[in-house]
Amino acid sequence: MESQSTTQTEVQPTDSIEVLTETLLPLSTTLANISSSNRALSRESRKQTQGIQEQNISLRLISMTMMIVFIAILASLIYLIRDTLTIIMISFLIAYILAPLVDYFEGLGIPRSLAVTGVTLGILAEVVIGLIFVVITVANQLDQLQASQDQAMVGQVEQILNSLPPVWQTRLIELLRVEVDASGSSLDTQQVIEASMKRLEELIIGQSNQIIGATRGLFSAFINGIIILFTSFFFLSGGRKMKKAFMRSIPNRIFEPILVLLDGIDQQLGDYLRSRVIQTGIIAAVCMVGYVILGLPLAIILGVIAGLANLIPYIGPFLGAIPAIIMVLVGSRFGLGTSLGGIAIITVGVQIIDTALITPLLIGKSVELDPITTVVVVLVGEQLLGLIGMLMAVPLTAMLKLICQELVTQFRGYSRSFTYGSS
Amino acid sequence: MSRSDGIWQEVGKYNDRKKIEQDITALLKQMELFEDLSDRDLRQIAQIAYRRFYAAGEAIVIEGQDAAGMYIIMDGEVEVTKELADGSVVRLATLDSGNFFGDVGLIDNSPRTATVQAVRDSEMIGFFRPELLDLMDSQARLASNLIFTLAKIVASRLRFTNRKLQEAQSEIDQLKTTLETLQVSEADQTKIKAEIV
Repeated sequence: MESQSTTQTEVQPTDSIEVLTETLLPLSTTLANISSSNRALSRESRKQTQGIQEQNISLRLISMTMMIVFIAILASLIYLIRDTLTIIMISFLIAYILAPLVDYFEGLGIPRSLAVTGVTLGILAEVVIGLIFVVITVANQLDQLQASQDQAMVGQVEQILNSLPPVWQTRLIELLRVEVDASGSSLDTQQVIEASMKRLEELIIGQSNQIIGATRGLFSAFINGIIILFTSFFFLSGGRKMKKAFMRSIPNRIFEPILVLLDGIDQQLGDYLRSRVIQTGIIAAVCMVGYVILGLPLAIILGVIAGLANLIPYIGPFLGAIPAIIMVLVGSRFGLGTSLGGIAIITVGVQIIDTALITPLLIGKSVELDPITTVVVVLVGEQLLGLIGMLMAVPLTAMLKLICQELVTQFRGYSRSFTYGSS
Repeated sequence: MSRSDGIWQEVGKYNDRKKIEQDITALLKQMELFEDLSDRDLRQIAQIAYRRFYAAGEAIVIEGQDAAGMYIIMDGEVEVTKELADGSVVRLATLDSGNFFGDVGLIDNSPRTATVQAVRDSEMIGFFRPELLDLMDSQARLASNLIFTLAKIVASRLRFTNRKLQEAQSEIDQLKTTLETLQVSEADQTKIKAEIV
């Protein structure tokens, strides 16, 4: 101990400084080296990061371009097969709306296949009876109109012809190629009308191509109607099997969430579609009663048109009133002003009932679309599918919104539970 | 890749729907759970059931995930585990063919209270709430029979839990008494020691 303390006391301060300097100098050099190499590394890493970022940006650009191309191809495909898609969509909607009725009959102990057949045949019968009724009503109304207008027209033609100077009367006879007996100095009205009918026949023959086109259109509509009916039948009878077949292909880890998601979508869509059908029915019925009171011809058909037009937001109710206004010009129980006022009251009244009662009670706020979206989708629908597109635009967008809402809800629940479960 | 992951494998393998339903009906018939139901009822229940395959180690239900239905073990073995607050996992039970789990999930969608994992490759029959609700709409009598059966299971489980709770309560009481006795004897000993000193 003593020798150690003696040695320690012998160490001079200058020596310590030297030792320190000798130790610290290489250390500081090393630190300086490390620092410079760090700087170099940092520069290098910055460069690399920049490179990666640039690569990332190009990758993002590539993936975005690919996504846009994919969406464009998909949109073109959808556009190309839009007629078929419309048929499938309409069939799907019909099946969705009719499903509770089939379930009800099944609940009564009737086998599902029989219930589906019965409901489909029932709907077919209703459509046929409805069409027959519409055709008969329209034909009768048109006959009545024709008869009243014919009489009025004959009177008017007689009046006009008699008021014409004799020279003009002769020219008119020549024009209508009427063979007038030489002695006939005055004009026979009956002959003029017969001649007019003859010209009309010629015109009809001339327009035969257009008539054939229209017939072809009607035939095509009839065929589409049959296809929609059959497809709806298959959706109704095989819907459950389709769902089971689809669910069998779902991996185990997402099986339950997908099942719950599909059920949620099913409930929401079913409720929404059925609500829209009830809403259309109520509005059609109210308009129908109003038009019957006004004594408009074809009041039932006008009511149905008004109900369907209501599916188009904002302008729909007014579009629905146009046929009624035209009918007022043809004939009504009251005067022109009163009838037009009546139609205005019916249209506004129905809108008030719809906004204040039907929509809040039946449809709810969850499927409300903002005005801009509504206008845009209606315009797009019109451009793609015309009138049917306009009618289907808002219900389809609302359905899409419901599906997205359900997806988000389920995804949130699933991710929350997954985190909780695996924590 | 697990067996269930192959989409086309699944579709191709089980395209014979009738055969699957017959198998499920045969299994349900053997179960005490469905003993009150007729053959016709069982066939209809088989129509709403899903047959699923799980590889060894694969989770069937995950604790905390919203429940959607119940499972019956057709073939195989599963392990029921629960995660404790400290993060440790305890094994609650091991179930094999003929047993079932997750039955409360058929009634409400509250989160699963335990995780169930396949111990070996297992085959399950799943019944899920959406299908049960559809059945209530279309086959009210059958659905009420099924729900009554479920209610019986839940009631028997509740009785079992009550019994266990009572047993636990009496054990706690016994332990309390023992502890009190020990505390008294300790106090006596201290008193005696003090007196000796």
